[in-house]
Amino acid sequence: MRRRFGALSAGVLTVALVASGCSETTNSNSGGDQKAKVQTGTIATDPAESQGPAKAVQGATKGGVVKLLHAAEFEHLDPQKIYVSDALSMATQFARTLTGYKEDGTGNLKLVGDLATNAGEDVNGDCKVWKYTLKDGLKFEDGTPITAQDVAYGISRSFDPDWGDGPTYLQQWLAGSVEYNTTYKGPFVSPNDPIPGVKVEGEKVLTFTFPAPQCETPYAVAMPTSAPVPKAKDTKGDYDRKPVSSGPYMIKEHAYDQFIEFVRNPNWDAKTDPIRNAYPEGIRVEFGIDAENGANRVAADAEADKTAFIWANVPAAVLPKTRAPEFKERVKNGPSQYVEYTYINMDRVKDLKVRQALNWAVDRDAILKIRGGVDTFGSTLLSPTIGGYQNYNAYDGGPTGNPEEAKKLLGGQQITLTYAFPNIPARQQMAAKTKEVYAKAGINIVLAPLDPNSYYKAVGTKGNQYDLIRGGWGADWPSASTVFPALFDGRTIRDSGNQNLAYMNEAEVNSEIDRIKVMKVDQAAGEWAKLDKMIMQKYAPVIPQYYINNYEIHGSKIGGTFLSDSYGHMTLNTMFVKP
Amino acid sequence: MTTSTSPAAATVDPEAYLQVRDLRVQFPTEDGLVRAVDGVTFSVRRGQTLGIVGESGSGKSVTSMSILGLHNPDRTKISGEISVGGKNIVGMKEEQIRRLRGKDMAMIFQDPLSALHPYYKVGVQIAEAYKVHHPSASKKAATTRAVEMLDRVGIPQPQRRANQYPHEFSGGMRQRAMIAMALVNDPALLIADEPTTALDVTVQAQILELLEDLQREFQSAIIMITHDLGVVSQVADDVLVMYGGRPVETGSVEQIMKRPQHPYTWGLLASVPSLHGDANVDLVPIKGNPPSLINLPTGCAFNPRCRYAGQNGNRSFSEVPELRSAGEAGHQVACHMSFETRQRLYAEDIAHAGVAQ
Amino acid sequence: MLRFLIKRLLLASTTLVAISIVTFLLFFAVPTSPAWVMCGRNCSPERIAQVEQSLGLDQPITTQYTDFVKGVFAGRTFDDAGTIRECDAPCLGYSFRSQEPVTDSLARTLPVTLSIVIGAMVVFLTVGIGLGMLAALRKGSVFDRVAIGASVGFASTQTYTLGGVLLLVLVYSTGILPNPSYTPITENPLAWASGLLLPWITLGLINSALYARLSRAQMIETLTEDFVRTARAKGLPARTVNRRHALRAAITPLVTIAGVDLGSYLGGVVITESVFSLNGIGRAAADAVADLNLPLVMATVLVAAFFIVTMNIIVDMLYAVIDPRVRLG
Repeated sequence: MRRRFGALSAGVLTVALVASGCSETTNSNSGGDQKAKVQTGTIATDPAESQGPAKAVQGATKGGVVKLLHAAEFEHLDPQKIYVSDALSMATQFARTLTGYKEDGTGNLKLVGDLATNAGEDVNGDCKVWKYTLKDGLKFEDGTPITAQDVAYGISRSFDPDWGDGPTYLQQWLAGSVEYNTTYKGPFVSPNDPIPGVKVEGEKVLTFTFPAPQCETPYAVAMPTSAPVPKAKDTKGDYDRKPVSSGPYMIKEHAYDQFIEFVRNPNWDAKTDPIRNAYPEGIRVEFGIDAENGANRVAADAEADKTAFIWANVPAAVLPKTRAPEFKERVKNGPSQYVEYTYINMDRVKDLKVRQALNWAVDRDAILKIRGGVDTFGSTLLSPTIGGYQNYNAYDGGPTGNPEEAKKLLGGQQITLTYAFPNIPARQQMAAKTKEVYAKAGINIVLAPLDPNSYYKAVGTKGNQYDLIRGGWGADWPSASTVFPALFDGRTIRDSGNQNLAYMNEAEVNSEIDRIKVMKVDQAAGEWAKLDKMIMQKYAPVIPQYYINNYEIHGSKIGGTFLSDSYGHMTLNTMFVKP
Repeated sequence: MTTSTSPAAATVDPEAYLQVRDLRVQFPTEDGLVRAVDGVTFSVRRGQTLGIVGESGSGKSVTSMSILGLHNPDRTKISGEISVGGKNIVGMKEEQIRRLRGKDMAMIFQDPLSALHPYYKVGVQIAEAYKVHHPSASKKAATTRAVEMLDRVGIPQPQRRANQYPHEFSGGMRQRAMIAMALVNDPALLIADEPTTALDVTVQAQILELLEDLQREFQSAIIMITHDLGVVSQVADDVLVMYGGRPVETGSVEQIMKRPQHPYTWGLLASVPSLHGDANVDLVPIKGNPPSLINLPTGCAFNPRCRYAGQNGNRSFSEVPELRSAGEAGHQVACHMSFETRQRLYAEDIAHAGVAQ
Repeated sequence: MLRFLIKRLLLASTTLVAISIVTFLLFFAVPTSPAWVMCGRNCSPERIAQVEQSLGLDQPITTQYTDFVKGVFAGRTFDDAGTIRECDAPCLGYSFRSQEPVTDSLARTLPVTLSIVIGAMVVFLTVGIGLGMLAALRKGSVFDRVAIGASVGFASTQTYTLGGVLLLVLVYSTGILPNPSYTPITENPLAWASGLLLPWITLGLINSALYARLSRAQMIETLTEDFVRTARAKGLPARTVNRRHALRAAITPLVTIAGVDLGSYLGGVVITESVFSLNGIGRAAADAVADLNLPLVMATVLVAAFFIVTMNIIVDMLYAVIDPRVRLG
């Protein structure tokens, strides 16, 4: 799961807490142009869709500088280290990848070839060998051509044992093991060893060979793991401050914690790029402006901030005024990949009836109100942005739940459960409400507030003493394959560092995961949706709480942008400055 | 100094440099009206010294402050007349008084350590006093003048001393510096408010000698405010004894010291250590405390402390005694007792105790 | 003077050493390892060990402290994920988060705080002391009552309330003032001043209140001093008396307070920096604590302590300059 950039003060803290997705809002009727869109994400089959230039945006003009008002410095800019949503969104402008997401803002999300001529060739039809051919005319910011070797070198860097911050899909698949860097340890430690499964032919061709079928390779290489890095210009640790651009913008100046100034990369050729329009002359990112100040400034729309925008949810204090009609065009509101769960620790709560009762009694309406009403009622494991998503409610007690049904299931037993949550204000409120809600069903909740810094260490340790565990999940790409194997495959359970916080280990589910995992993407989507429903009906290992929504705002002179279904923030690909 | 025998219109020497007529100073406060000075009349000629004697709260310091016009006019009610060199200070604009202050009339304060600014050099402070009334004088001239004055008041190495801070001076030296500062503009009137109280006895005598010496040279009129009749006997020509804001006895120094008429004066005299008598017998402090100036005792203000109160029926408690002639010319006293009674009591009770001669 | 200075400097260094040790110990009393914070969620015990090793956290606390001290005087090197980094003396450590010597972080954030504080100080010293003095001279007047009433009002306001309101009114709603921002004074003095105007006003007003009341009380007391009476008796005009004689004496105790305030503000004005989105040392310190970024915590604590200790020495020396009665020894 990639981490979501949140409204917290600083980098590392953000990481730990953002997994707890904190955005607060106070109002329950949402404004903006939220659409109940259902994901139609697919992988492009027609190579023409991977050809540049990107389709022009209606009314768009070139020029101007857009300004991102951001709370904290990006955790990383080195493409092989990036994994937080804000940096992922930013990286799209300076780190092109083998594949990329082409979007038009209406829910049509298509994975196309970015550096590559297509989304990937499944050479043998068994998802084990994938071939990528680079386009002509690709250049780094210094004018040197981008070769398959540069892409391979970039990927090799992600194997470095000291660099565990980025996504690990591709490395694990290539090595055929969760512990991907036991033998090959990247170009710095193992300079003379070959990268497992990566073969470069000539300047243009790159082939991945996996020990097991990996049908979602096109998605995995859309992450910046596959961004090219010129070996001659690799400054290792310092690369994180000033990576060499392969995209339409490059870093002119980076004052850490203060600002980054992106200017147009003269060596980027629009004809090679099907995704990015790159209308503005530059992008300025200013750090240290927390979400409240940022939202206030953008809402105020002073001359200097007319081209400003934020990549954080508009906080509660500013939310009401942005609901006014005149903000309609400037507010972007929609679902994210993130779903908020309460995991039920199946090692401790073994009685299915209790887990079902918990699901019957949940009052999502009350919880949404505490959250401020920006989010959406959700009762499924998958988010609506995931391909194949189907809506259902396995325990339909209406918006406020059905405590009577829960009582019936419990048959008069008095139950006491502990509820673990990170001890931060937003979570404290939700925990208190949860306790109140379950009291109606005769379930007594004992609150266990935990140190936010070590929260996941505590709840991720097998044999912990918590019955209910606050958590959430966001898919890395719009496929359930980045959800179920991580959360519900019982064979991944370790002594510590677990992500399967329900500690669910059911043979039936494990084998379904194995079966669907090797299927082609378009077939798999429907099967995952079925598994979603099956898990909830038969095992009820979690209480889905709500779909976390994004609610961002931009200045009046910004046009062309929308919430990206790939990374959740307003996209820079199509953004332009109105004259 | 002359005073009339008529209580209502104590007249004033029309030749005197300072003439104060029926001065009343009142401070309205939240607790009530403070009658700090309640009808004082006196005058001082140039070359003469008037001693104003009384305990703290008797109104002597307020009187002197009024003469310099140092009271805040917004918070003080002053009536009567204070004529300095022919100009009436009462009701005069602050700016006009300011021009007189330090030039025509100057003041020496009790504690020279706190009265001198701790942050400025002595020479600078004296020069400043000169410069303010001699705006055309150069800084150098003012400094030279300051050194001259220091030399004149008997400070050795005046050049070096001028460059020192007050805390580097001894108590006596500080008071000399203070005097130098007061005299830097040759004022015709010098008010010395307890100038020797903070000093030890030998230094006291030097300072008093210096003042006399300077008075001879500059022909200044001096008001010596003190609670110490010993000091008065040494330097004053005339004496005014005050109690509770009112004059209780006035006369020449000889009259007051030798033939005091008021029981309060007797008390003051008895409390002065004598250089000749027996210290164990001598010191008889006046019993009780000075009265509150907001609520003066009715009748004679001194009655609660006066062992002879009530000798004339109820008058001590109901009627405020006026200043009346005490027999000799210029000697007046405000006491209900008859001249004869006072003579007898003084001879019986007081005289043998002996006072500083 | 020299003896005093040497004595005080020795004492100051001892204080700083003690503070650094206490900070170290406190940090290690926290149950959470920074490695957990850095590693995030998807973290195996092996990976934790790896991170701890690369941060030097696997060493015993005494070794870590000696390394720190060595770094301060001789500099040291760090292994940042395979990249060896030089950290020249005085090396206060290597920031876990920004991956740079913390002295670089300080060099970036300190000028911001310095600019905020010095500007605010000018505001609250002139406005505060000015108002206080005028109120004292007009004690009991309408002006006095209004000024002191207002100062009680401002003193009971908090930076985040007043700052937030001013932001809303002066920036977001009306645009009278520009968004608070930091431009180095060397780059553009005008932009520097206009960007910091709002924090200056906010911090300035709130502190003015305190200084107004203090200086009023001080001035009222001084006006009753004998030497002020002497000055008036000399025939000096009221203006000279008030300025040259009363103010000079009344202001002296304020120098101590202002100096100590300056010292503590230079360690960071967290709330002001946060309210106005300025990346000063205070925010860096707060973030460092949240991130369990020990080297930066350490550096910011030491910098704050350094300023306080230094300002105390300076104030004492200044006192000797202002008041000739004071002897340093």
